[in-house]
Amino acid sequence: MKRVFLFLVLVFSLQSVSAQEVTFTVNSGLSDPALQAAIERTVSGLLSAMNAAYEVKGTPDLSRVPITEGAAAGFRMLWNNNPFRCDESDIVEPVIRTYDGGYQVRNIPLESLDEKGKPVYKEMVIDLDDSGRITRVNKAIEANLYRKIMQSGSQVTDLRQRQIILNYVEDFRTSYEKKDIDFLEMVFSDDALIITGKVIQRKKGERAIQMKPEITYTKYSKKEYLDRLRSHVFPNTKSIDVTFGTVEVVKHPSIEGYFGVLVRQGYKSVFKSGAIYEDDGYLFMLWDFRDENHPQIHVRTWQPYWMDEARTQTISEDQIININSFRITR
Amino acid sequence: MKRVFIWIACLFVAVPVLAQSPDVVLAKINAIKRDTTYLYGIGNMATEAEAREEALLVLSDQLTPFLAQNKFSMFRSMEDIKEGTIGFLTYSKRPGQYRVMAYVSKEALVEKEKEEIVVFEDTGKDAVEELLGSLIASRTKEEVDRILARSDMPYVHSGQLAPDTRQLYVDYGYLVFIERNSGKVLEVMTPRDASGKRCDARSGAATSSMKYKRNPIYWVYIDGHETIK
Repeated sequence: MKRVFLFLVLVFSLQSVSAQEVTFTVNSGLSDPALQAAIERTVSGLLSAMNAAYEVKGTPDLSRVPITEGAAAGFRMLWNNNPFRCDESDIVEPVIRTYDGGYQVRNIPLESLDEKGKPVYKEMVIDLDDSGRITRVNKAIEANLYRKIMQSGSQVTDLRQRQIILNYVEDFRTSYEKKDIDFLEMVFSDDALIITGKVIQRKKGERAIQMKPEITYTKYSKKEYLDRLRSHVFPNTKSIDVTFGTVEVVKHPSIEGYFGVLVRQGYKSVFKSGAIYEDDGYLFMLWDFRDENHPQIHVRTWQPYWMDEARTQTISEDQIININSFRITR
Repeated sequence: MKRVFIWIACLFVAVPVLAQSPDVVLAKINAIKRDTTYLYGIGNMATEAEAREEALLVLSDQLTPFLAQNKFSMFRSMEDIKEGTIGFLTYSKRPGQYRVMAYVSKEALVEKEKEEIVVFEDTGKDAVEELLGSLIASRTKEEVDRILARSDMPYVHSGQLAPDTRQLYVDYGYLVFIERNSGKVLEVMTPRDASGKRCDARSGAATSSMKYKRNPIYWVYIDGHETIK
């Protein structure tokens, strides 16, 4: 009897151990079997290392995973923000060729827990080089948004350009979760214009007649904005969660290489004190992709989506900042 | 002691079975992804309807080049593919997170194309009229099922009315109303005429589909029915 029980306990524990292992299979996009095997091994290794660490609340051991130093550092930053796991043991996805001659795997399901312990679903994107080594790990833009942008040929006709823009938009979004100040330092141009909007509700007269809510704007220089992130926001924050609800990419009508990216952004940060800050708004970025290897953001604006605390009124369409809101002088 | 054993054995079998039900769907999804004879699209969205819509859009992206490349005569876009040919799998493990796979077998499309071409040549207006006549005269659900199960009728498309049934089929198709419990055919209605009205196909009297709201409805759409009538 005792033996039977021990056997059952062993079987159950083996089941839970094996659940941490993830097998990744490439189903299309590659014609080189050796590279396919290398990518499958690498991605399976990363996901399994991630799950093993999640189980014991540790840090993933990447010593056996072929990964560049930069990608490993970025992955750890993401992990430190809020650990995650892949709760599926069998992943089958295609490999995409990237604009820089590398390879990309998208749609890797990730699960993390929010501050209340509620599971949050995200997807991961992994870039690899031609030896099957990981060069970048990021949280991905939702697959439906990615598909829409990749197909929005009327605005940005070149597939390659769209891929570059989306990669940088993904990097930009994840940089807040990674608290990657170096990336933000690199990507904002020195004279970047950073504008943040805030709704104010004015009251007039003795009877305090409520007037239509208005947005007031505060302007920051790159230094002011990054200093605020560096010395106040990032050190006091336990975790940051950024989501993009919609993404719109528009090419500048006359200046080659300039693109406006408008996203509906959900932002949530949990402070070390336990306090939570949340906002929902439109984030507009004016990107300069003239140097594809070093794109720059010249303008970043944020406007609230809701115009009142009760969340009954939204910002009107004509108030939303877009690429035509700025005159670019060269 | 025996009871304890049985209890443990039951638990041992039941727990994984219950726990795996979403995993079984996931395994099917992954099997289709691995199988190169299928085309598929996946949608991951907050509701099942949104995920299904997204999956169909992605599948359409896969199908369009495949159909063009294979020069199908019957299937030029996803709109031409009969709904029954597209399979769906829904995986939902977390609340508010649905993964829907829409898939179609490339081989099935090729087979159907062959079938359609061969039968198209052999079947004419008379056969469709004969089918329509039997349908109008049918009295039971079994009879209707038998008539509609004929695979040699390329002009005839049919199915049970569902919320996502295409408007074309509903508006321009015959409707067969079946009594839920007895399976008796209550009425066969003609397609809407130019003024939007339907007639009882047996008596020719004006009628309305509103009175049979709670009963199962079959739609029968006949390509080029206006010339057949």
